[in-house]
Amino acid sequence: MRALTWVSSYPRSGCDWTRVLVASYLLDVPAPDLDTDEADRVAPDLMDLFNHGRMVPRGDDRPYLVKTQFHPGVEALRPYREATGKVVCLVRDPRGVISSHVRAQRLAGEERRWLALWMVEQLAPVGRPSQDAGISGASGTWLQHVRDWTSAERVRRHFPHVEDVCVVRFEDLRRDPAAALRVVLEFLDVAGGVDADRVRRTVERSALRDILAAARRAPARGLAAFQDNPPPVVEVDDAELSLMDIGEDVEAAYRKRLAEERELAALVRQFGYEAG
Amino acid sequence: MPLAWISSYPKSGNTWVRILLASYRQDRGVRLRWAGDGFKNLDATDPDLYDLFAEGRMLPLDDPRLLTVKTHLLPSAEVFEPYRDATTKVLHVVRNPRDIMPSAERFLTVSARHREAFARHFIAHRGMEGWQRYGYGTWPQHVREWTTPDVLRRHFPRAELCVLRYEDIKRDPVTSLHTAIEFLGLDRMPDLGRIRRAVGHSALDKLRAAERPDPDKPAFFGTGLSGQSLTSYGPGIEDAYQALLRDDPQFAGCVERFGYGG
Repeated sequence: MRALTWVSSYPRSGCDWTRVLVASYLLDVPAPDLDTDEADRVAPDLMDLFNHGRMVPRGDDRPYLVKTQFHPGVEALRPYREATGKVVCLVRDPRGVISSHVRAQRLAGEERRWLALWMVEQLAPVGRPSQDAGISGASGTWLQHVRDWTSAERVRRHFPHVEDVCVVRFEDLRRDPAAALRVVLEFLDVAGGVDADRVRRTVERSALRDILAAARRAPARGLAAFQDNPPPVVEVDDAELSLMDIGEDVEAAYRKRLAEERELAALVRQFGYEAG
Repeated sequence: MPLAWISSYPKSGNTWVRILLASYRQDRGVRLRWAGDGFKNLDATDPDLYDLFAEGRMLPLDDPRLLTVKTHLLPSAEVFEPYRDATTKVLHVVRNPRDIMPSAERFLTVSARHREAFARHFIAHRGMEGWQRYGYGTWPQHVREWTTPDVLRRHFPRAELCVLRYEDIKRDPVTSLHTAIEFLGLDRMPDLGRIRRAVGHSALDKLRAAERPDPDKPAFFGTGLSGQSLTSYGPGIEDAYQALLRDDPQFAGCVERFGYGG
């Protein structure tokens, strides 16, 4: 039986994009056209499963990978302690995480700036050494999440049978989705090996912009036919917003946070993100 | 730790029962907290399964108090697995499907021009098809699995069962709440004055006035009508419902069993 594989990331770091790309490859269907049930069969989201009263299948019908944004130490993942064998972890520059989150909230001006400043503060546990702090929320802080999912040794504290961890940077996924998808599929050891043509097809037909637009169009099943106002299609703006664009003090606060929290700065540097 | 599920098919009075219980426990009107798709965490002993899971947590089985937890899922749902042995009580609320239909119509913001199609859909699928996909089952499946002791105990082997009809709660909320408190073991000798106060705090018109849902969403609490005719949905809908009663023995059996015939 296939080992359980998590695809994890801190929120807004490409976890769902990866899940959808893998499902699209495995089913050989363009991501915007994926049937939800079929996609869930091969690569579900743990929260969606739970919302439908389900847990991750444990038998031969186990999916190839399951998305979660939880920290590996949360109670909700304990039922999968023994079954977990692999982890794919997406990591994104904290600046990109903050920028993406504040844009998604559709805030402007001062509200946007305050949210960004708060997020900078929350990148690592506040007020005590991160090693001693409890997990902050379901995902942990960025520091806790990235530190504890990207090291096989740390992951094994929660999932003792994990063989390996595959770390993919969001920025690499965005720059060259085909290469990143190939890395993930090889790590998953998909049956028959990785088909380069199929990877190319998958990526060509599965732009992030189209995936997000399709997700926003998708009506609640069985209900849209009875409503006059289906959810509007929202244009996806994928222009990058720097912390400086949000506010000079946000960028300054970020630099100060890194200067104060050495473990955070080291982790930021480890993944190739400018730390100063 | 004792664990009780407050189970029902959607739009059958589950939230109302939880508010009554929380008002009794607190001996005051409960503060309603709207959270997207329902009222959550009315009381410390009324945790929401989904909210907890979204926070990465499980139900706190080490809590010495009785937890009463809402669910619309079928008892066979996989997410109950960690809780099967801890479950000691099931309080099930059942409502006439004739009244669930208009309540669902309002809650789901069905447009006036699609009312007839919605009613046909509801009758054809014995409830909302979308709710089946969420693991709630059809109305008769849901009611049968939660209210048939042998079936229920396959999933919750230690569970005692109490079934309350929405219509009886509405007609005599004091007696219904007394029954629920006794069954759940909240008080060995339920305090009648406190029950009356809880009922007063939880009247549907007061709840309607107190709720603060999303302004883009319809009000959560309706008028709570019972035994409604389906003729307003258009020609043939009442006949379609009667045909369902005639042709589907499982549906008809459930309707008959709870006194919703005709």
